[in-house]
Amino acid sequence: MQQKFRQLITSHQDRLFSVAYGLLGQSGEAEEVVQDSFIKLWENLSELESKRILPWLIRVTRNACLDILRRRKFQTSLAVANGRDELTEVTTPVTTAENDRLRDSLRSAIEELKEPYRSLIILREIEGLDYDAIGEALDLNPSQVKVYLYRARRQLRHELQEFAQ
Amino acid sequence: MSQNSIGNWFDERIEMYLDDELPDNEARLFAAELAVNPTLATEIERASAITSNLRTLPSYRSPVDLADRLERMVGAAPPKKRRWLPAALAASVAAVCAVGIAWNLQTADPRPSAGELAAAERDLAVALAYLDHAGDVASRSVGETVLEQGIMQSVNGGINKSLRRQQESS
Repeated sequence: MQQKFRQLITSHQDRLFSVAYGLLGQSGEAEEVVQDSFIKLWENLSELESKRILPWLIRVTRNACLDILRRRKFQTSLAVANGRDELTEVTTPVTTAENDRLRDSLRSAIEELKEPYRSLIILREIEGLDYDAIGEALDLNPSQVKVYLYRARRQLRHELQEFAQ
Repeated sequence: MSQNSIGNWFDERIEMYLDDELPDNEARLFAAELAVNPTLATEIERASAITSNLRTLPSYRSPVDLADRLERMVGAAPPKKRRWLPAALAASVAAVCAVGIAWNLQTADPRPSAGELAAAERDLAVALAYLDHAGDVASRSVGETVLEQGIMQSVNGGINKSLRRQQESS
């Protein structure tokens, strides 16, 4: 059981951290959320089918992040003052000034999205999860996932109109 | 359909077109329109640029490896059994019973049966007879007390008078 647990941590910790960090923008909080999600997984491991573990973990992680974001609404000034942490990226894209500017604009535009659009963009476009897994994690059917994703991208396009011109 | 909702409808079609998710007949119409509509072509180009750039956004890596830390935290013990489960089941059964009893009490016919009525009448007759008797006893007792007090008062008064007269004469 412990070996399986360890394998699951190794397989999913980066993805979960990326989702949590994408939503929270704070590495300390993201790390804590991911750790708590794995502890919950340990407590429920015997009851979960293998193929449902990742969507389950994403759901638990996302819910914890949304709770933190709700609490943060009462501390807006603090959140603005803290800003985003600098972190190691898994992929290292070509870093030109233009690319950096576009990535920053995209990140900012994603931060402006409301839920579930923000989670959908992170899970589908950045983490590359399939529609079924996203649907299971967010309690949506695959058609809803697609429609919401179109809407999320449409909003991003409008936010980034200036940049794309 | 308002101008805004037409815009939204078109915007969604653009995203569907880029994802190759438009139904065949719609995709054909869309492609035909795209060939003659430069505004639509520009929109498609923008949407495509943003979507492809979005997909190059980096994923983040956890700054610490959680495996060792979590393994230590959960220890060698197997996952916790749900000890609260039997208690929760018992509580659920008790709750269901309580609801059932309350329901029965609420829905039970409030009218007494003929036997119950007869028994109640018998009890009532006994109670009335007892009260009647108790009242008699009480009134007799009160009357006797009043009479006794009156006699004793006049006797005591007579004794006191004769004592005073004796004192005066002596």
